Parts: sequence; structure tokens; C-alpha cells
Amino acid sequence: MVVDSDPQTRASAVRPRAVLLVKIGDRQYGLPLEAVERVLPMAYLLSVPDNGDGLLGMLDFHGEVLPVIDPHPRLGLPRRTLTAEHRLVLLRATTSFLLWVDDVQEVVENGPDAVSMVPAQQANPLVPWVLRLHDSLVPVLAPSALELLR
Amino acid sequence: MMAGIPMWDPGAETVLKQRAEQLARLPIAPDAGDEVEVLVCRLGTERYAVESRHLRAVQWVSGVTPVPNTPEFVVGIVSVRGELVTLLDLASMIGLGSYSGDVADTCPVLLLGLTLWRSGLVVDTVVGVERFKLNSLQPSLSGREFARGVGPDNTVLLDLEALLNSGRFNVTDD
Repeated sequence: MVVDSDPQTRASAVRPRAVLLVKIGDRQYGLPLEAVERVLPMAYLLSVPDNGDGLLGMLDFHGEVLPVIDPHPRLGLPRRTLTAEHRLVLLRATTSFLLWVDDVQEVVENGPDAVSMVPAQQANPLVPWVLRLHDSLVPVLAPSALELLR
Repeated sequence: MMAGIPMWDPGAETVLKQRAEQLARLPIAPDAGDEVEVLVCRLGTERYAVESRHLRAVQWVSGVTPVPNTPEFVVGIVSVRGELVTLLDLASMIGLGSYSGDVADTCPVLLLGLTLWRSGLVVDTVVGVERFKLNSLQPSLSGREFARGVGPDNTVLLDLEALLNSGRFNVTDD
């Protein structure tokens, strides 16, 4: 897997103005709202041979066959049983793909200092920002890094 | 079980396959600008619409007589201007559960104008008449079998002909 850990690239990434809060496993994550196209209900997925850990399957969405990304392995979370209550978030980065999440919660508009860059010593292209939400910090995932999971 | 994909929740496979089929369909686009007049009603908290060309009237009825030994979707019979009409529970027919109101009270009924169907559909509330552009309907993702698409304000446009001709709602005199 190739990921871009260049600090210059990270620094040039646009700070999200709003974040969609989702649950993956038992944890809360954010997705930049600018990259979120739609939220779909979980559906039956087409299996692909020799898929990597990050590629869950494929789905035909209105004639466009999209990869479905499983974020669990990369986030260090155990794989879960797929249920009809799970969601697929259609994200647009350099390509379009669907992200498997357990639940979609709400959209949070950023206050002036709500979203911060992750400190350089903790550099992680998958999580370039954190959202300060009440008393907790929520990792905000980078769609461009998520699409590389496959 | 598909290789590489975690085990599905038992019992979820059927609904997941239905959703995949719905998601694969292209958005409904018959004729550009094709518009239909619909009657919008509420079933519980959800908005549904039926094409008004399938209806002959909307009537507020009372004095419904329940009929024993009939399927759950049959509310009863009522006399509308001297004509005996069988009342069907639209919510029950589309899998939303039973009519939430009390049929002993006055309830709104959509009187069908379809050939061979001199029945009425009981709904919770009648919202009003609207016009839907067919080419702007979104595919229904809720798994509703008889939905033509989703219009403004998340209103589900029902395919009334498909619903009634599905063979599930024929009531005989036996």
C-alpha cells in the first residue's frame, strides 16, 4: 500500500468546514462533508477475487460500479458482521468509492478552532485532522487516504 | 457466504439483495418533463402519494362495519352514497403495520377508480394534490416493493396498479 506522508501535502490539505460524524466499530470518526456525496443503506455486495483487506466488494450504483472500502483493518478494528442497519457513504476523492460504516450520526459545522491539524510527530495521512467535540476528540479521516486502502 | 466479505447478519441477505437491485437501477426517466398529478397522504409519519387518475374521490367515512374472517388488510365495509365499498388498509398492504386510527371514528378514504376495483384505501391523513415530475423522482431505497420513486419532501410515489394487481389483495365473496 502506498500512502502519502509528505508533510507538505498534508499541510496543503483543505481544512474541512463541516464534518459528517460516523461510527466505525465502536468508535466515532469524522468525514469531511465536502467529500460526502450520499449515504446509502447497506446492500448486497459483489465479491471480487484476491481482494486486499481494504476492499470489501463492489456495488452497482445507478450503473456505476463502485468499490466498497472496509476501513476496519486499517483502523485496527476487528471486522464485524455485516447487518442491514449498516451504511455505505459515497465519497468523492480522486475517484468515487463507498465506505462501509456502522452508523451515520450527524453533521457538525466547524467553529473557528473546532478542527485542528494532527501534530507533526503524530503524522498520519489517514487522520490529518481531529475535531474537538464537547470534551472529546474525534479523528477526521482523509478520503484520499481511504481510497488508497484498497 | 462470499469470499472476503464478512458473514452477513442471518436473515438480512434477502433485503440486502433487494437493495442492491434497487441501487443498480437507473433513476426513473421516462419522458423529459413528464408530470403526473398525485394525491399525497400520510401513513404514520411517512408521506405517500398515488396518481390521482387512479382515484374517483376522497371521502371521509364513518360507521365502518368490520367483516369477520377477512385478511388483516381488510378494514371492513361501508356504504358510500348507497354503494357498498370494501375498505382496505393501505398501511398494512405496503407492510407498514395496521391503520393507526380508530375505524369507529371518521377516517379519510381514497375511493379507487380502477376497473374491477370498487374499493377504498384507508389512510391516516390526506395532505393534498400535488404534481410530481417523473424524471426527477429518486429511486426508493427503503425496500418498498411498490414504490415508483421518491418525490419532493421524501414522498414515496406508490405504483397503485402494481400493488393491486399483485394478486395479494384479492378478496372473494367466499
